[in-house]
Amino acid sequence: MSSVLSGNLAFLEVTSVVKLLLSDGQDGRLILQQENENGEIYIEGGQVVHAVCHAYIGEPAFRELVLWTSGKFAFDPDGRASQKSIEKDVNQLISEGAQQLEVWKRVRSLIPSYKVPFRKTNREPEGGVKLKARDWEVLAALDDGESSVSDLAGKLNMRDMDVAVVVHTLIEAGVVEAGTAARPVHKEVVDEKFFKTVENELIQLIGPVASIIIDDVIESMGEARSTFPREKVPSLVEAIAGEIYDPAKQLAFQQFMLRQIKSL
Amino acid sequence: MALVGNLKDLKLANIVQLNCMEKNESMFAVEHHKQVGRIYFAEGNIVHATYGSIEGEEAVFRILQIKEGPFRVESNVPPPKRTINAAWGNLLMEGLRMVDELREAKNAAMAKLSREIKNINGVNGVLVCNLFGEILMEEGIASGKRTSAAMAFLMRKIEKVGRASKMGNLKSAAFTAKNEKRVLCRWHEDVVEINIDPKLILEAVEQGLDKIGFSDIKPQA
Amino acid sequence: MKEKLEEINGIAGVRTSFLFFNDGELVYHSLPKGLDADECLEIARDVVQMGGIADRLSPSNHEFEIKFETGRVYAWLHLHFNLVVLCDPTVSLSMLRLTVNVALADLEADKKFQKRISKIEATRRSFLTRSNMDPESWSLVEIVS
Repeated sequence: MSSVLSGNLAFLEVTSVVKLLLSDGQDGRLILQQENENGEIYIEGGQVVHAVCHAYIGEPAFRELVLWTSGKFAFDPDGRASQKSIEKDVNQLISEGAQQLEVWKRVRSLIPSYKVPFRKTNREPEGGVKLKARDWEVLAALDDGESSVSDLAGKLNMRDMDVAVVVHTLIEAGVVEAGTAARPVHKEVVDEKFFKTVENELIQLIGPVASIIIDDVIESMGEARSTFPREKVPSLVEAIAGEIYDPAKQLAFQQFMLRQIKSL
Repeated sequence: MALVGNLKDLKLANIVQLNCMEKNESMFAVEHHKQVGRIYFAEGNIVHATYGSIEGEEAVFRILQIKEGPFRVESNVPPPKRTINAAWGNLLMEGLRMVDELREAKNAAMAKLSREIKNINGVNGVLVCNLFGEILMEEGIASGKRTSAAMAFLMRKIEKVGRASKMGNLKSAAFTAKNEKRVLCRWHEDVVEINIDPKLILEAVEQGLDKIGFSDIKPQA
Repeated sequence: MKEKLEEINGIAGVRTSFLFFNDGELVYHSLPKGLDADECLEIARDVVQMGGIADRLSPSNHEFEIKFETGRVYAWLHLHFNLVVLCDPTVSLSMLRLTVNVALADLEADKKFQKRISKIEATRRSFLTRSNMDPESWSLVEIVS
């Protein structure tokens, strides 16, 4: 019998490892590591008796750990629990954990990041969906407009993960949808004087060909001097700088333009 | 646990052979892409196999395709039922033939893909390799083992960074050095490296890839 | 030195940035928006490891542009130092490039900075050690070497 078992959570889910250890009749400490996070699950006499993860102990820690789908695990057969923090039957614990992981995978498919904004659709919940108190609470927090999962978590003093599950429910009920990542902005146009300044600087650096280069670049960007959008100025500078072959002059132009952009 | 390891170090055919020759009553289990494959041995033959919800010979064929994944072999596990009667030697031969056919289909898809990428304006060469740095296909430039190992390393790191930063899956990456520029993408389990004109921007390559339906090209299994 | 890098963090969509010397000293980092500082540091180190490999293929300055579904990682790797910037997908790469070019040129012209980098003998390769990566990655490093 191997004394130490170790492996990768990308291949073996936490519940699988626990099941493997249980089926093997092993007692000890399962150490889990995901990037910089650590967790521990203690098995004794065919039961999971204790778990630790971040500030969580017991069942909440176990529930968190079963969601880890990357990282490493190692089994230390000599590890013994310092306390008994889990009373629940191991089969129930594992089946709940596996269910939770399934939910979590579905959640992640709709909410790839806690930073993506969501908004209310102002539709009624789709047929038969009953929202719980916590769902309404999150929905109410979206009254102010678009919010991401982490915004909501901050507002409601909940965990990101828990908010994500609720938002997932709300999306499936049709009452919440992905927001506009890029908020509609009023397109600002640069002053024509701006191009005069650019032209003067560029003439000093590379001579009279400067104005032709500027016009060529503007045209190749599908824009015109009179309606040139402010947000495209960095691309314009990049393209013009690419036409300056002397590295020192190129840098001088970039330095000048950076100051100009800041004063826009 | 009688044996614990990874299929990339030990070929399944050898494990099958060992268990059948030794007439072990045992179970082999492997995890691959969150699916579990199991093969049960008894009386010197394969008597039962499962892969996810698939049972019988088909399950053995699926498991034979797995090139990498942790496995364990447990001894003295009686088979829960019998779904296979073929002799293990024939089964293995048939399975390996199917694996070959699949590999050919994959190679054909990969060759098509490489050719089409090579035809994108500004592309000098294409390399397809796996995450262990083995070259699977080359077009335009002969890259060599060092380049493919480097690309595999970069892809592993990129994916680690993607996970750690919670930025999700890789769309594409560009690595620009003094006189060269490489674009890296994931294609199924493998890595595609595209050597491009250093002046070409990443977006131009992405548009070219979209046009040839890069993400839709799949080996016909 | 610091204020030059602060400008990079002022660009809309930049989450955080790190500047490393090749000998491993972290010269500067900003407080990340919405990410754990240690996690970011580990990410930046991974990016410099990528630079160590890129150097072995072609020793030069490098620019990395990595696009993920919900974020971007950019890096500028020069002879003695490495700048890693983590961003939202909405960041303007042109603006970032412009600011970085100017900031790094200023930095390289800085006397104190020049003095410090003149003492650096280590290359990015020193970030590639067996102990700070998984065995598969290490075996790839050995092939490239």
